[in-house]
Amino acid sequence: MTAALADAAPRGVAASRGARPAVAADAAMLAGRHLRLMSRRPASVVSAIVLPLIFVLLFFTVFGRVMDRAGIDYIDYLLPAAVIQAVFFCGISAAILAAEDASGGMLNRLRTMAVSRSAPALGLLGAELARSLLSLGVLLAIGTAFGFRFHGGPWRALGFPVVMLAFAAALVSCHIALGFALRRVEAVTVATNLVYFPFLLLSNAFAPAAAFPSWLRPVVEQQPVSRVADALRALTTSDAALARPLLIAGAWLAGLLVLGALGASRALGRSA
Amino acid sequence: MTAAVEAEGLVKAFGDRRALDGLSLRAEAGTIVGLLGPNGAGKTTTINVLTTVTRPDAGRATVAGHDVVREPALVRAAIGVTGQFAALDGGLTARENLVLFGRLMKLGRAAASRRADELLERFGLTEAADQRTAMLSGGTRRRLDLAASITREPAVLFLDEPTTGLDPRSRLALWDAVRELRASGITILLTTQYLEEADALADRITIIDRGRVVAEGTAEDLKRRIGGTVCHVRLADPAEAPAVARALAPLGVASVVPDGVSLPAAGPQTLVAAVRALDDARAAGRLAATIEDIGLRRPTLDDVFLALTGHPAAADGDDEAAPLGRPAAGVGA
Amino acid sequence: MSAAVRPSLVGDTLVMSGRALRLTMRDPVTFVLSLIFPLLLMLLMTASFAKIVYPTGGYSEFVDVGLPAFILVGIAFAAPVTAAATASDLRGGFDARIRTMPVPTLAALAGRLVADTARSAATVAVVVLVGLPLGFRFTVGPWGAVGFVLLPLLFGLGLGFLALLVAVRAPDAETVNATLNPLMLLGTFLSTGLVPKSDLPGWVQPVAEANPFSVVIEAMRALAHGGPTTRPLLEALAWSVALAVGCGALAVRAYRRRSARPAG
Repeated sequence: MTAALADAAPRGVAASRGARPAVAADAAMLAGRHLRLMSRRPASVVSAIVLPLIFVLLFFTVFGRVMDRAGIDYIDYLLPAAVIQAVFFCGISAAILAAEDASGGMLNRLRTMAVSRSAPALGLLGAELARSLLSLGVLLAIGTAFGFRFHGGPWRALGFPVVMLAFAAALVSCHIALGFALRRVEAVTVATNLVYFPFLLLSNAFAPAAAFPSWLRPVVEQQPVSRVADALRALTTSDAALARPLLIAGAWLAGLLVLGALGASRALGRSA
Repeated sequence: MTAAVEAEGLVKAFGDRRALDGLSLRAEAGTIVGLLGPNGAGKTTTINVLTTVTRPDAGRATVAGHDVVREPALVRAAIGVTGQFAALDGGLTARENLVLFGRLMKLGRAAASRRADELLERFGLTEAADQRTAMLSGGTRRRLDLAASITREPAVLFLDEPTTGLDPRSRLALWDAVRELRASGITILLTTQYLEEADALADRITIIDRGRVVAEGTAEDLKRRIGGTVCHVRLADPAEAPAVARALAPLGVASVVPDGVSLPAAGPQTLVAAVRALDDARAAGRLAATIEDIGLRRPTLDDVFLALTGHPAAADGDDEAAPLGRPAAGVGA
Repeated sequence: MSAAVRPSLVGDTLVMSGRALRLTMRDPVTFVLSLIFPLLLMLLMTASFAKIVYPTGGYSEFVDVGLPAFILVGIAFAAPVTAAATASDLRGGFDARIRTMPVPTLAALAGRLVADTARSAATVAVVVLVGLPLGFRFTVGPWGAVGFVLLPLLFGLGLGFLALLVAVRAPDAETVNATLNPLMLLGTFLSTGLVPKSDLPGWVQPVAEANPFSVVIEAMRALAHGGPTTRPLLEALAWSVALAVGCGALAVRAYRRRSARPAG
């Protein structure tokens, strides 16, 4: 892998080439560092793989029957929710790692080196995208064992990881901005939970919008997490219209990505 | 005189490594005893055994007249301990820490509060009194840590490398505080890897290496033990020291010290012989070092240490039994 | 002088509890969040699942039946937080000093549990107060209500000792969270707290029935709504006491053993 290759080179190489920062190489090297950090934290492996799995299995076990009675094939319904949740866990982890780097001096050290300015954020983003793919693989494997199927053929199925990665890129970049800006790990933990719980639970991720009280339904239907869930679900079915949910989700994600990128670059410019 | 600390034949093994290997130790009441040794010598393990934190595998020890294994509660009531890392609650203020530890030493609420104010005053901590200790500087934390060890005046105070990592001024301030404590009658057992710290503070010094005592006495005793004088060669480049030591080898045990080479001297004739040996080596093309200074001087504890253990005090030993207090690990994803 | 300096279980536990309470109050954000978390979960789960679990009943029925479960969720997920704090104490210098002081082991460990119980009481109060206007009813009378409040506190103490045991044995605060969070998740979900037993898959039903969380939830329902009370209450008490005594004894033993080897 690029990250491994870049990492194997001695640290001084970039400087000896005339100290011209190369965004891609720097980001790949920093992504390698983050992946190594993650793999050394058992808790982070648990949150990346085990926790989303536990959630999907528990919800399926506890609510599978009542959902069945309401006419919903719950494993098909739930898997996109589990993927969204896994991406949220990646975002929370990214925010914490970003805060640690910002408060621990790593970020300041990188800025005094011949490392391109956006590399710290891009490296972290790359690492979390890799982790979200790993999580997706595990969720799909286990989900399939419990009856999950792509009903819409290979092309729709291929769109599924693409939408997930787009969602991950948007969400993780917002979380990185948050981590760089807040700097304190405790504050980041609180703030990320304040985002995560309402957005995930006040969405159609785990239960259909129709089950919510009517005054709450418009919020539940319109908010970005529901819109991404709509797009992911459309990609698992054969009959649903595709263009509309994809466009709406795409608009949300593009907006979030811009927000995250602006926020991160502002925070990076400020935290000297 | 009576012994405030007495240890005999202490043995403690971690796996197949013997941290303590028959260590014996004695501190008379009202004195400061310095426990000197490189990393991994067993200093922290000794303190842990004497403060009831670690049970020895063999041997016995009494502190303030109580057996550390059979009467740990009585020992704990009579001691104060300051470790290598400030043993404080980072979330509480300086005053709150002192009150908390005072109450755990069974001072009443009012007495603990009074004592806290007194200690803050005495250790120059009044400005830090209402700040959370996590925010304090290293030197301030260490002084507060020392104050927390004497909320109830102990019979014996253990200081485990109390100045490691401190800047020179904070170190001098801490030394003054330690001397004051001795003046009030407290017996102090101090570990350190800084020879000048033992020299400056301790009435008697015990040098340990690999879990055993290698020498014991006053600083003067110990310096005398390796002879009246040493011949010292100061080098511009310490990297040349091994070559110089080889050139001086015929004259005695020449050892590499931080700024050059040291050689036990019988008298002025050793100096003459050393100069000749270095000239010969240079003439034979075996030596190219720039010698900044060569002369006779009184031995330092560094020389004592070298002569007794065969390696300098500052050398990085292997795995010292980790001190119990360590900075907490980071919070993770 | 030293004759008066004796370890005192009650006195030292109180001093250590005072410290823990002070630390809790100093971090109001965490404190408030620990109260809001079960509340938020109750509101959001009710909004999304009530109509699906009780197609004919709806929101108020879900709150009335599910409220004990949300109280236990709040208490259960506070335990890992305390355990992580304890784990940090044990690895920082604070514990190194406590070990050299005349303080009983149990007092050194249990101080945080007393502060935790105070927080759990606040959780019970908040969830009940919000639950009442949403459909929760006490139909048994004042003694039932008193028991309804006290039982989760006692069970919380049992969970607290379990968390302490993990904190003493785990190498760091992260491992504490990674061990306890899944455990608490399984305990609270695979119970009869959110969905009636008959609506769970066949293989889960015996698990849910034996789950101590279900036992306590059923006892709390009996205390609030009536029905046979003695047997569920005795079972719940037995579980709580067994957890506290068993895990407490193991935690004290593990703590003493830690001192016999170098930290780390």
